[in-house]
Amino acid sequence: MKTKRSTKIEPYLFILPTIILLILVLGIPLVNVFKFSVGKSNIIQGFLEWNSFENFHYLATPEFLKALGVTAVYVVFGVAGIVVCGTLVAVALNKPMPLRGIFRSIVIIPWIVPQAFAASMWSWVLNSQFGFINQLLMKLNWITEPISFLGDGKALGTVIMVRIWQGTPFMIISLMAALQTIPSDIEEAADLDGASALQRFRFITLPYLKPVLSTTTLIVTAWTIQIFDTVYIMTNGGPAGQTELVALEIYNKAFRDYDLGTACAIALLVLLIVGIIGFLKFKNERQVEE
Amino acid sequence: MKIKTVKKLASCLLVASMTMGLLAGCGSGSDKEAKSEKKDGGSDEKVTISFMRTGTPEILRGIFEPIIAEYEKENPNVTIDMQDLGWADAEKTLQVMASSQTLPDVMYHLPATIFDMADKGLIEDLTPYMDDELKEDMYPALLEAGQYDGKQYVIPCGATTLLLWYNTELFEQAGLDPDNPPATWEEFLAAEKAIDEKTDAAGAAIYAKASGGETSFVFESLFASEINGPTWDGEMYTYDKEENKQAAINTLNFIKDMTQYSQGNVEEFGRFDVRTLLRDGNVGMVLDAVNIENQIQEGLDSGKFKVAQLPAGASGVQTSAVNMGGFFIPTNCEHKEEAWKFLRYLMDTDNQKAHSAYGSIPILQSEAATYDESDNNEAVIIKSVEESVPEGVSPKTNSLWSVTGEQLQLLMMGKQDAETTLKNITAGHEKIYNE
Repeated sequence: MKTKRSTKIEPYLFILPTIILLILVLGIPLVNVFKFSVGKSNIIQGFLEWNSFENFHYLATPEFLKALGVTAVYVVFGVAGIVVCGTLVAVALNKPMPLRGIFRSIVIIPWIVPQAFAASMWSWVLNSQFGFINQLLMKLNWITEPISFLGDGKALGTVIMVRIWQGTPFMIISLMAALQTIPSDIEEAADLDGASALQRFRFITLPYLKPVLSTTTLIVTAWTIQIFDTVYIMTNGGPAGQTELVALEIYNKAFRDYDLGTACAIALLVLLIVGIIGFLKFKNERQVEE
Repeated sequence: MKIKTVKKLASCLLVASMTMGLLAGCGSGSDKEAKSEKKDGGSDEKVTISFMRTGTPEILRGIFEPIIAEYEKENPNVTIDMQDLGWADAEKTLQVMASSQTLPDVMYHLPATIFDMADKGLIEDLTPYMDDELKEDMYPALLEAGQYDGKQYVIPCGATTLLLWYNTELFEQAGLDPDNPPATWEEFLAAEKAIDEKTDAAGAAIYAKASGGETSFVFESLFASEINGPTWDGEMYTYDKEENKQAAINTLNFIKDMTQYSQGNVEEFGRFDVRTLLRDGNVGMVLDAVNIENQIQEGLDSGKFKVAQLPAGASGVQTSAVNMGGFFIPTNCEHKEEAWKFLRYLMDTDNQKAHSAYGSIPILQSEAATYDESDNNEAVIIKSVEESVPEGVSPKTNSLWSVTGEQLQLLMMGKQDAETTLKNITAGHEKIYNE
């Protein structure tokens, strides 16, 4: 016979493995990040001693604020590019056309290419001396001097472009799934009523895409803030700090300067920013639902 | 009812076993594989020495596996377990291994990281192990480069000086004598100009990609030649000292002048990138390490490329800093004597010579003696080691280099002058010295 107590315990017992797993993979690292951030710490010895929030002072230095500004530009333009390109390609690939299956397969290639490989590939393709793009443009007589894509004043734009190239496939896949849910009769009715393609997109497609779009945008934003490999390999933060992202700062502090405490302080700030973005997104969703 | 209870009980057991499994899977792993075992309970202890040489495993295994096989044959109670570690993950992996006390018994890495670990008590001082024969055989600058705080933590076994590599065909086209390469900074700039003006190639390849170490090494080497002295006094770079300010500015001005006739967009190029430019005849000269040989070997053999010592600064002495990596033994090693015995075996002349083929200047004088004296390139390399000074390395080196690298990049991009560059380097270093 089922007792009241067993009924109470049973659900908790069933979720126990998940809770333990969460504590192990999320809770412990999070507590460690917090612990390391408030003291003198390094990778080898861990937490050494409390240092009165000294690590957080770095967050107010011009050096870090510059990296934060660069990251903001990188994230805003990178995410905007991914959203726009992803939406356009997803809508285009949703239309019946010959070889649609092949095109759908091709567009996800950038997503499955390892970031380190993609970064090396783009570095060579864009190289001003022997890069394919410069050679092509020169042969076509479109330019007379090679363009220094990774040079002064252009490097940030280039790494943003590579981020868009890498991130767009995820957006395409997500949006194409959402596009399948749009009832065809609504589109047909709008067609009969004489709605233009732009009107159909604005008043039918976009409202259907909105929930998926907002969630994927949030995910892509969080991922973009954390991008490290591509920029590290392509520019290593240069030239003259023009592509110095916060993720590179974390790496440099932890592994170059052996200052895990400051690295964790920066990581906590990033966590806070991603948390705020997530909170605002869910708050917005709740308001829409209400 | 009964079936329901049994089902419930079974599912509870399943959940409990999953939980236990999860916890067991995350155990501390205290049953760590024993590194040594007694054979038949006898006295001849069977020992396994783990060995790791950072670098490209496909090449390194080809060098070390025959040496290890020979060693194991001579020492039947010892097994050498060679492990691989690529450069891309080296720094992270090393620090994680150090934190978990799982560093291999004999390992190769770069001195800045080793000295940092030595500061934390993780590296064995090898001074008491070293025999006079090895000490006397090793080039003094290299021996010194492996020391920190008066102790020999690193046994150098892979090193390079900075050398001038040049294209003899472009020299001839520019009206220069390929047998008399530039020996001073003035001659270098003149040759660079001549190549740039009289051939389709740029005068020299310059690398200014943000990475710190590469450009700091160039600055340090040129500065050593400007003052004909050490670049590091054990606590700070000598170019950070007020009395050497003018010499440092002269060096920085020379670096800036070199960019006048170099390939464009220097900030896009790292040291490895410019090797392609030299190999393909796009530039006439490059200041680079000895492992460039791997990229241009064919041209060196045919005489298309040649090597010369680094052009001299005001002192007139063609000296360079020497950059090295080496073997160390961590304090967590359970068989230090056996580990040292193996390390020492690796440092035997023939074994070290085989190791140097991976891309190093000779480490031992006995090794240099086996070089072909009639080969001008080899003679130049040996002379550069003999006249070198140790590169300044400490646990703070990576941070110091990043400051220097950033400032040198701005200088080479033409964004600031030599005076400002030195001022910023000194201020940045000052902060790090005082941390």
